[in-house]
Amino acid sequence: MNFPVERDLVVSLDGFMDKLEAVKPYIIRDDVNDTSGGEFLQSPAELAQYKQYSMCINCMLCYAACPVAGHEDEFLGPAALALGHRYNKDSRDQGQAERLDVMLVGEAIWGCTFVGECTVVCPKHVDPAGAIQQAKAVGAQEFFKRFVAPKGAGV
Amino acid sequence: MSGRYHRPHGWAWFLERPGYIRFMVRELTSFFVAGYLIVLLVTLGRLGGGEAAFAEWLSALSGPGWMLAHVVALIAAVWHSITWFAVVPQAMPVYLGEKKLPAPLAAVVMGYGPWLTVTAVIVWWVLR
Amino acid sequence: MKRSDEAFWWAVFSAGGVMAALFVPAFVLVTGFLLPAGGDATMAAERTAQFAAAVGWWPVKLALLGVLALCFVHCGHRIRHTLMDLGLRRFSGLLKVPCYGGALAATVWAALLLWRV
Repeated sequence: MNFPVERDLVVSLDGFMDKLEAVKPYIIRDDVNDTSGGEFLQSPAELAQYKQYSMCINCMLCYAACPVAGHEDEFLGPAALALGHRYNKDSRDQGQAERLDVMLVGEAIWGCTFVGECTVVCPKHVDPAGAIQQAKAVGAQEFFKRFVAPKGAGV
Repeated sequence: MSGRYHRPHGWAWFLERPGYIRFMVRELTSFFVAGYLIVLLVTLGRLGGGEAAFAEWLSALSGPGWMLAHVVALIAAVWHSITWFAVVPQAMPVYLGEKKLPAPLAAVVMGYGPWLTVTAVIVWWVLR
Repeated sequence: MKRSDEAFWWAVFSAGGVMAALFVPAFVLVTGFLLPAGGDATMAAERTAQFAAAVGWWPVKLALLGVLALCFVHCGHRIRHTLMDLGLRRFSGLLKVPCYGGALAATVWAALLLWRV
């Protein structure tokens, strides 16, 4: 519903692909290619923190159901934001700050007003709406942390 | 964005899906809650203005117009509470090891329980 | 690009949403129904004294001011975003003035009123 139409049954996915890429949906850490220490281990409890948000199959139903995705070009949309949050919650990842620099700008995440329809239509029960609110809460924590720990303090 | 046709979105987009209507009703509670809070400020102001001013205000509030307004405000406020507690488990999931606290239980623990407690304490505090 | 200051308003909006959910129905019950409920002048005077005593203790005043301030921002933020969703997205910056300014003004007003009680 919210994608630009090229012709009958064909929509343009360029914008969606750009947004998906923008949140850096991959593990970021300095020693990501360092295999000398073996695998980066993760406990079942750490897996549980993000597993639900990793089930996305890019069906884009959430973009079709989201009114904000239709109204606001800056808004990254449910799937991309949930994917960004999925990597932020991954215990092996260290790229949260980089991702938040993309997610917390302008209306990228703040355009969301928690309509909640993305979660209703999601066939994989990803709950993008919940993931987005959690990501907003992380953003709010980071906002207030600036006043506690000065910039560059390595927090 | 590329694409030849962008579907237009009017202001009445929220009529397109029942979920959008529920969303808009939830958001509109804030208008009624804001209106009620202004009336609450007037009540507090009259209380500071002395007993006579307050008694006059109370008798005005007992009229049918204000009663109806407060019934509407109560419905809006309660609807805000219900819809807020419904999404708390999504926005603030509690993990017990690998398991998430089930949503209904989380809503009771983080929402309905405190809500009933606060309401009971306030009513007791005023009527004590 | 700079991170948005929306983080601050969203945080206060959320805290206010919790406060509104927990407190406002009880407030409506008390000031909308329990206080103005019928009875003669003596009973009305009794209720007035009761209410004044209930609100008059300074810890209650402070708590009430805090709850009200958060609720005002909650309403202002939600009203602003509802108006944006209804087509005023272009004015998202301009809408901050009446919405958050109004919440601030209401908080100052509440502080002055509670001071006098």
